Amino acid sequence: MNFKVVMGVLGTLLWLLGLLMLIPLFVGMYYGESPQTFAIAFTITMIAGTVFAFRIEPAKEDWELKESFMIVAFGWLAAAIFGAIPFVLEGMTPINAFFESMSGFTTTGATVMVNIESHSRGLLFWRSMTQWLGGMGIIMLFIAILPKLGVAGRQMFRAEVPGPQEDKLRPRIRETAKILWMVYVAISVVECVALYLAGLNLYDSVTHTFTTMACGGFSPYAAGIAAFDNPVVEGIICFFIFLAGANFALHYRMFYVDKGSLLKDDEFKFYTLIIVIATTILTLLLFKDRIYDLGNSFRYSVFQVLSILTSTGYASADFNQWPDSGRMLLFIVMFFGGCAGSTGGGIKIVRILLLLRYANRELFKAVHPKAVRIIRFNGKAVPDDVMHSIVSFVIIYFIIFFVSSGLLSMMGMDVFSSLSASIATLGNIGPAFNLFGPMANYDLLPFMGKLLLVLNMWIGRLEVFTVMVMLTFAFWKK
Amino acid sequence: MKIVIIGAGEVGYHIAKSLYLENDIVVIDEDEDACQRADELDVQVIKGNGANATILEKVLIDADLLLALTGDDEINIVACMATKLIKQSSNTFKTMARVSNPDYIDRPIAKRTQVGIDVMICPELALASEIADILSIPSAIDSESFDDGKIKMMEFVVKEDSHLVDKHIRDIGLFDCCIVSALFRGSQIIIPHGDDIIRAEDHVVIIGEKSAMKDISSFFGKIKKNTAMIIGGGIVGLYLAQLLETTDMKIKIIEKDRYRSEMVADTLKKTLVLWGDGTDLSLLKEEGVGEMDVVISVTDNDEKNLLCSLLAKQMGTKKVIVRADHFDYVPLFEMVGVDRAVSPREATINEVLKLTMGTGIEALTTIEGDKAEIVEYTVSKKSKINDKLLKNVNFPEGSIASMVINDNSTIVPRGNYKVKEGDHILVFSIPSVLPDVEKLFK
Repeated sequence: MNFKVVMGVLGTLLWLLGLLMLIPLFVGMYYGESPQTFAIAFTITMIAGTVFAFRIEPAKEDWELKESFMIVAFGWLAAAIFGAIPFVLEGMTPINAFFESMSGFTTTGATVMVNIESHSRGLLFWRSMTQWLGGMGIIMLFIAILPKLGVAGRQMFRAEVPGPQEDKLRPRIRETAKILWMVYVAISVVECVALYLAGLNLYDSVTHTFTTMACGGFSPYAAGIAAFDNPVVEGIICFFIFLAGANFALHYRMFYVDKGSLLKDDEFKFYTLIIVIATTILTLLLFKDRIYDLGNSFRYSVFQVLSILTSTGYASADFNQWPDSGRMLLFIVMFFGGCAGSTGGGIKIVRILLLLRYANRELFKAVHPKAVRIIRFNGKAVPDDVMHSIVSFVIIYFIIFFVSSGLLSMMGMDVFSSLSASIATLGNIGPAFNLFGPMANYDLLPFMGKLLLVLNMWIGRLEVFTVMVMLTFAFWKK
Repeated sequence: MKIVIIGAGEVGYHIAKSLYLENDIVVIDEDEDACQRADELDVQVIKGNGANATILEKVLIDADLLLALTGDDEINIVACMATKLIKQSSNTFKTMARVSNPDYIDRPIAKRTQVGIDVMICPELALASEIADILSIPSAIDSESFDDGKIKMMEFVVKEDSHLVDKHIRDIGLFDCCIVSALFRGSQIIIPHGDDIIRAEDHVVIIGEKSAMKDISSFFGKIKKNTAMIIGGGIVGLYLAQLLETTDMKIKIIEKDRYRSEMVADTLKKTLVLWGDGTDLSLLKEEGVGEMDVVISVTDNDEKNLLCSLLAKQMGTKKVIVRADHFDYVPLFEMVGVDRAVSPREATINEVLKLTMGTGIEALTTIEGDKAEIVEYTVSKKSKINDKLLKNVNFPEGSIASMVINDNSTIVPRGNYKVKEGDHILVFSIPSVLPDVEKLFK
């Protein structure tokens, strides 16, 4: 392990983070707030970055896969730690600040802020912005901006975006990262304009764009989207959540390569199918129990299904008050997540789809033991080792889910709160049920509980392997 | 015509044999024994590498056609490309190569004029499409197609309960564009005319246009052939399955190599691919080989093919078709109970000779051993037959005009077809009357 290399890159990453802190500083100043908080945070981050990066020039030959895993995992941890500084300076306890910051960068959207509106506009802007940065990925941004990381860049890309199928838009990873970020920025700009035209003020438009496009879910208001009670705004947000939960590489292809690329994609088709089915069922459930009339049942169902499925976690209504059948449906949907290459979390649609095909094949093979059946994705054969890695991913995912649920219940939470809080953080969704419903927050958790959920978010955002691999003996062995 | 044939193996030798009577043939081969055998024909034999430019330069003077038929794809391709460069000035010079590797060829016959090969032929794929042809018309036992499949020749068996039994040929009501070209009765061959009578167990050879041939099969009773099992997922098996997937047949294919079976499963969309051995009895039982309508055994091992197909037959399969790489095995296999044995060499020879049709190369194809021949003649100004209606031409007993190829089309002529100068007429004939037929065209 070459720690010098790791420290060097982390230092550069902190410089980037420090510079980004200047944005909320100026936003705060624009609204007449004191620049003190972010000035201090900026200074600390830059100094820390300099200390870290002090001994570099990273020698490229020493760079191995292990270093890439470490940089990505600790890069996210460092971003969450230093990103927490402004929260601490505004009076939050260190663990709360860390929770809030990690929840931001990992686009979870779970909050421990008791009185959100009491915080400064600069801080709430930073809170939304961390989600936007984390959505497309801070390492990806780093790769896009820094010159020539070469092989290391490719490894880091794989460690941060470990979907089962690599989507190479360009031969060079830096170009690919740039394109993905550019598509992300472009769609964000469109959404921001749309929200502004729908009647939101500039501040609300920008902060909500940040958290929609990232499938994040933070809002500067405690009531979330319900605060606006505006069907047009909900419609716009629905549409962009839908885009954000799909593969960004496909968005690019659709504009520059082949107009039909989204519709030809197996994963996108399955993603749309799940949304349609879940929305229909939820609408009927809500209508049957006379919670709303038919129109409103549909309005809240489609918003909540999209929001939970893609792991955004916005609430346009307090879905925790819905009947158990509806809550169960949303709980199940939490496991799915967005498409690979999206900003959404969860297990990811492609993995679910391939697992279903895998199960189907195994059933068929029970009848025809010697049959050779290929599992296809978009017409191409999926190699067995990809299938194996998907299966082990899901196994590890569920182990973490059950262990953390168990630990939460030992801290005195009820069963459904524990289960839902565990998947809501592991899947980077945010709000859960019962104690941690969309109108409540996570502040009532004990210190260890918060730490556990921070760990969940971190593991979930990096899709398990990148973090878990460091817990293996083989990783540290010389 | 001067024709250069590279490779005097099974394929090259038989083609030389079919062509040497009417054309100047030069055969090039490296193998001593092959050279000696070719030398028994009236052809010029050169011992050497067929892709050697020095040899080629010498023999190519005033040559019209090069056939590269060795078993080595690269030699064939290089030979064709080299000769095209040497003969740059000649527009009429044509090249033809035998190529097996699926990387180079994906159809039985492909054109690659841009790289200097006018026609490429793949023996394995030609064999596969021949089998698919037989299977696509359920009652047919043999099938050949001409002119890109526009014309088909098929052999049917007349069953005892068929309504055709004891009828005159002119009364069976064939479609306009079909013609009965031959009747095989036991070991006897009859080139029929209107007043010949069809008997039970006769084999009837019919030539006709593709669209009409589909309906013809109903004349001979329907054998439903909805399920097929292919043993061996090599080039032949895979391509055959691909062809059969376009029909509504349900197919299972057995391949014994793990990776190959995965590759086959990847290529095929509807076929059930099984990883196993064709001689594995429990596998055959499990997959219900006894209920199969047809089992086709096409591994590259003749003896194994025979074993698999006889096993299948034993278990109740209605019909078995077997690939025999060994030319001489074809009659032997059919003797021990295989319904039909096919050889890639035969398929290639047939394809090559079909390609020479209508080009003025007077070639000769044999049917059912040497019992009948298809001979192509070109009508010239001085021909007796020129400008006559076919029904007025006195074809000798035992011969019939079955196809006419002119500038732009291939047709199956009826009595009122008027013969024109330049027509290539394919005559179906028993060997003994050939000299008389020839006189008609002189």
